[in-house]
Amino acid sequence: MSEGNAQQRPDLVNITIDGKQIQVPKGTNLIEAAKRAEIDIPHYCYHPHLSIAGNCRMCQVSVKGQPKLTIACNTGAAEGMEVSTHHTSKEVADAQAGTLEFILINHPLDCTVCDQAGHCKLQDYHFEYNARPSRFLEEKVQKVKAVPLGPTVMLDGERCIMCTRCIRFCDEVTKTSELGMLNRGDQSVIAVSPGKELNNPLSGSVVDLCPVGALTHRTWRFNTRIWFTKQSDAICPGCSTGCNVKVAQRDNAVVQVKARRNDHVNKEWLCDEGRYGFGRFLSEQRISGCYANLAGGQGHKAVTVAEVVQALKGAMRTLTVLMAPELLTEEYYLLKQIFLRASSLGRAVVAYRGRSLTPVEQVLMSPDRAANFRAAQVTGLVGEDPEREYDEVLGKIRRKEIEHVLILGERAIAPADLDDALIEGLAAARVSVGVLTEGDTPLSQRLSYVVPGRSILEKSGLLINRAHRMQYTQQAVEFPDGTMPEWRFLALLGEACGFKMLPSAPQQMSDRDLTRWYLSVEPVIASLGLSIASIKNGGVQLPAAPHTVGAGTTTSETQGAHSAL
Amino acid sequence: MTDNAQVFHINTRGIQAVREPVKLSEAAEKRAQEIIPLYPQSRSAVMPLLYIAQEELGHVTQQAVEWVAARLSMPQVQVWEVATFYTMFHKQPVGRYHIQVCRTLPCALRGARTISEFVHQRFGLRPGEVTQDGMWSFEEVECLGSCGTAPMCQINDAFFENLTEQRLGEILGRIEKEQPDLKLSTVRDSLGAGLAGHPRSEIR
Repeated sequence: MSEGNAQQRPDLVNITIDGKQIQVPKGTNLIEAAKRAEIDIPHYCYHPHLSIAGNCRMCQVSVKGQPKLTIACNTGAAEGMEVSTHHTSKEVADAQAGTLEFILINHPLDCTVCDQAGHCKLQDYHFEYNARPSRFLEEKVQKVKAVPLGPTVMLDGERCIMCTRCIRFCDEVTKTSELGMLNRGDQSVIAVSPGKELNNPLSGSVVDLCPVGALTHRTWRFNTRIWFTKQSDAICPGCSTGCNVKVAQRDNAVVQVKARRNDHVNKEWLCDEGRYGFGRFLSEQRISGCYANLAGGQGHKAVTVAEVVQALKGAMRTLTVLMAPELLTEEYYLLKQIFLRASSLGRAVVAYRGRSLTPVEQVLMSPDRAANFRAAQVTGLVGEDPEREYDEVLGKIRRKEIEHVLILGERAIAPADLDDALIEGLAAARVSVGVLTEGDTPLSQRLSYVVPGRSILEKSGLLINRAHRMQYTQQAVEFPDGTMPEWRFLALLGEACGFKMLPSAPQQMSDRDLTRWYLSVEPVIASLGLSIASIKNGGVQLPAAPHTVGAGTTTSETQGAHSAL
Repeated sequence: MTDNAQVFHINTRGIQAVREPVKLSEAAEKRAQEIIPLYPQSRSAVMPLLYIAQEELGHVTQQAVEWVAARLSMPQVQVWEVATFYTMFHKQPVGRYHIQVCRTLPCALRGARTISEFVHQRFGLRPGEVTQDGMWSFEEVECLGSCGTAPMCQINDAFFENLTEQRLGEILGRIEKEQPDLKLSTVRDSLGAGLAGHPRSEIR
C-alpha cells in the first residue's frame, strides 16, 4: 500500500523480519518492508505499481502466531509482527521450492532458445530457492507458441506462468484492457480478443513486466544473448519525462532497452517511441574530423578545431546559437557563461516543438520531444515559451537576417523545420558552425564549418526533466574517434575568447570530470551539495525557478571559473 | 472416448472482428434489459447475457461476445475470459439437441460408458462433433448432480435419468419424430423421471 516517506508522517510500527527489527509505516506490505531490512522476498505476480493479485504464491512467509504461511505481498505490517522468510524458516523454504516446482511442471524447456535466458526470474529463483532436478514424468501441456499479440509483442503461451502482470498493466496503467486470460487450469493462456491486438503506446512495457520469456519484443527477437551486452543506466532522451532506462549495447549497437524503476518519474514503464526509437539518436554516416565547406559546392577541406574556433571568435558579439534540446545541462551552463562574458547581443534557442498526446500517451509521455529544455530554461538561455523563440529565430534565418550562427547538436533543428529556405538562410550567414553527427546532409554541406560531434547516447551527464528533476544519464555507446562533445567545443571557444572556464584542459577532461565541476560551481546546485552518486540514486528534485543569474552579477561562479588560471 | 475438454485455442489470424453491431431478437434484447439492472455492477450480468446470446446464435461466437460487451460496457476480452472459463458456453457449434452424458464416478459405475457408446453408434458422433444436418451433437461432461438416478444424460436443459440403452433409444426416437414442434419438457415428463420445475431459459 504505502511506500513510506509520504507528505504526512504515517503511523510507524515495529516489526521483526528474520530477527532484524525495523520500523515501517503501518500497513506496508511485507515485501516492501523486507526490502528496508535488505531482505529479498522472491515474487512474480507482485509489482509495486500494480494491484495485488496474489496468485503466484512465491512470496510466502511465516508470521508468528498464524497457523499457515501467508503471502507477503498482501500482508500489511502490524505492530509486533514477527516474520520469517526462507532465511530462518524451513517451512517457508520448502513452500517456495514447492511453488517453483509447480510452476515448472508445465514450463517448456526453452531456455536454449528463449530470449529471456540470463535475465529470467524463473531461472534466477530456481537457482536460489529450488535447484532440485525435476520429478515430472508426464507430458507437458502444449499451447500455441510465437503468437504476435500486436506489432511489438510476441507471446509464447507455454512459457507463461499466469502471474497476470501484463493483464493488470493494460487494465490499470494504460486502461486499454487488451489482454485477458482464457480457459482455466493448466489450459490457461493469455490472449487478445479476436480481431484486436495489443497496440497501446506503452505496449513494450509488458515485456519488461513479464518475469519469464512469455512476452518478448518482436523487433529484438533473437538478436542477442543478454550476457553479451554491456548495460548502462541512462535517461531516455526522447521527451522531457526523462524515463529511467537500462540500455544494452553490443558492438556499439543498441540491442535492447529496459525500463528502470523510478517511483518519481516513470514508475517502471517506458513508451514504445522511446524504447524502440533509441537508434534515432545515432547517425549512420559519422563525421570524423573538422572541415570547412568550400564555396560553390566544391566539397570541403579539413581544418583543425582551433581554426574553427578562431573563425567563430570574431563573430561572438551577435552570435545566434541553435541548441539541441538534449544537450547536457553542463553544456547549457557553459554556453551561458560564454554569453555572459563574450556575447552581449547573443541569442540562444532550443529546438522545442510541442505535440498533442492521446490520453494513453499522457500516462507517461510529455507533450514535447525536448528532453532537456528545462536545463536551457533554468540556465537562463531561453524563456517561458521556447517554441515561440525558436520559431522567431528560424524565421530570421530564413529571411537571411542572421550573420553568425552556431548549431550545437544534430537535432538543434527539428527535421520538419529543415527546409530549403532554412538551409539557404544558414548558407547565407557570414560564419556558420555546426557541431553535428550526420555527414553528407544538406546541412553539413552548406555550413561554413562543421565539427564532428557526439550524440546524447555517447555522453554522460545531467538532464533536467519537465518536472525539474535532475537525473544522471550514463553513456550508452562508444563514440567514434575524432568526435568531440559540445561542451569541449564550447570550452575551447571560451579559451579562445580569453577565459578559462574549466579547471583542466578541455581535451584532458572526461564527461564525469565535467559533471563534478558543474555540481561544485553552479550556485543553486552547489548549495545542495550533490554528488554524481546521490543523483544517480533516483534523481534529485530541484526548485522550479531559474538558477543562473543574468549578466552583470559578480557571483562565486565567475570567481570559480577564473580560479584555475 | 477421447477427452473432449472444450478448450478455446487462440487463433487471432482466423477470426475476424465483426464490424456491424449486432442486434438479437426483440425477446432477447428485452430479457437482457430486464436482467442488467438486477446487479449493482452491469458487468455482473455477463453470464446471463452470454446464455441469452448463446441461445439466439447457437453458440458463443465473436458476434455474441460483441453483443454482450456492448450492452455491459466491458472490454471484449473480459467477456471471452468468462466464456472460455465455463464449458457450458459452447465456443464451437452444437447441434439443435446437445446430448451431454455424465461420466463421473457414480454414472460410470452404472454404465455411462455404454450410454456414450450407444450415442456413438446411433449418430456416428465422437465427443465434440455435430451431425451433418446440425440436429445432434454429443459431449461427455462431469457430474451433473443426479447420482441417485445414474446413469443419466442432459439434452439441452433437460435431464434424462435412469437410462438404459433402450430407454435412451426411445427418448431419441421421440425427439426425432416430434421435432421441430417439440417442447423438450414434454418428452422429459412422459419418458424420463425428470425434475419437476427444472429451471430453463425463457427464450424459446
